[in-house]
Amino acid sequence: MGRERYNYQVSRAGAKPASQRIVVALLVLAGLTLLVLSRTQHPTLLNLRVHMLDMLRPVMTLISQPVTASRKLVTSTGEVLDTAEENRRLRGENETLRHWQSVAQALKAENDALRKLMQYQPVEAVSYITARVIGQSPSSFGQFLTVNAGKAEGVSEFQPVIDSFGLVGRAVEVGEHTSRVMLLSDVASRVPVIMGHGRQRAILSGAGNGLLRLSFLSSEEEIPLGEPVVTTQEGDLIPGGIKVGSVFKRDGNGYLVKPLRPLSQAEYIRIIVSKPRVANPPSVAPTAPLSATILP
Amino acid sequence: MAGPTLYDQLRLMLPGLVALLLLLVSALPMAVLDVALTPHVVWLMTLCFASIYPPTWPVTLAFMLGLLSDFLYGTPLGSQALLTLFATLFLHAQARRTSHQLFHLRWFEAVLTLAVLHTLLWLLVGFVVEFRPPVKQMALGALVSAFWYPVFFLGAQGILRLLPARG
Repeated sequence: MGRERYNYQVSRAGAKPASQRIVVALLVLAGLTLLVLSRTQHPTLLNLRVHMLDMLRPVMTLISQPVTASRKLVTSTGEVLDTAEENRRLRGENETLRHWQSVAQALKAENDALRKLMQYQPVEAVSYITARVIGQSPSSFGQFLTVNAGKAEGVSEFQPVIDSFGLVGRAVEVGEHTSRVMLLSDVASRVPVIMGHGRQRAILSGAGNGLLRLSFLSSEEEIPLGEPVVTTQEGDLIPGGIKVGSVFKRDGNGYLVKPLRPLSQAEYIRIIVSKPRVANPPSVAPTAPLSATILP
Repeated sequence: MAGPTLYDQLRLMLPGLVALLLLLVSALPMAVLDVALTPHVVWLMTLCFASIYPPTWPVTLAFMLGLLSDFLYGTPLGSQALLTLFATLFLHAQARRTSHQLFHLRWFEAVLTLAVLHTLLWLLVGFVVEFRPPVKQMALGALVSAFWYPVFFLGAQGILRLLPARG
């Protein structure tokens, strides 16, 4: 690249005017104040973040349109090219699903009967809000998604967020029409989980590199690689039984879990909205009380 | 002596506006792989403009873009704002020395500056929120930004052609 084409003469009057010094001093003071407020997790700062979320929403939605369109174009082109193969795969899958449908119907009938017999009280009814991902954190310092649903749509803090593969994270900052979701892979994320087969309980935390780490395991037993990991209802914040990933490898610090797919690749997500507990719940569980609001 | 015209002043705002647009674009959901290949837009733009043409990169702009980066990157508010502000002040002070520098020297210094800024941010994040990302990820972020520097430098040269010449 050699020498630059444009070299600008820089003023020899090195000293800055007093007004600029004052501006710099004020900015440094503002920055330090913000850092202190961040350290103390002051509510004012959370409100500021929430307001910024809402302010940026229209801009992010507008800028994301071409990206969404090009993503759709790439996806649809790929789908057209793979139609024959996809068709064959779906036929096979359909046959398998028909078999499992009959099995599920039989099990459901049995389950209903047993619940009635035991006078089982259902834990909670849940509904979902479907939202589109309009932004993501561009660095590894924090792993977040920004979605176009907020308080106005019924989202509140700490609600779990899933996609078609499993748990993605939790809503941490909720604006009027926008929310920020902390991904499971963020270093500050903590979720109670249980192993699918061995039933050991653990806390799943983000490793910061797209993988997840198991800590505080309930037993010293060896966990086989590939063991599925699902959520538990401990703490009553996340419904149990949601798939998270599978045990991927063991290193010096414990077990690492690989999510079912890279968490930041979610395009549409569903926020699980818990409904308030009913005073006298029916003795029989309601059948799949799912209501979904899909946002554009 | 007559001051800069309104048109000139608007042209001087161009680098800031480009940086803002690039920062917002970098926060769009585009991940193909689960690896962050997005460079640190604001620091790269700071490196390109603060030392070459300081009037296009005032401290207030640097602070505001840093603050927006804090918000978009999920780092504690104030951390990147302060680091970008200090980087700008440092580069303004170095402008005379670096104005005729060869590209490979400029790139080498940019890599060093990016490494220092990423390390300081990593330390600051750990101090404020007690959860630090792995060192490897931080180093990868600095490396990705360093590789992007020539692209940003070329882009900056294109933008500089549109700006009013300095006397």
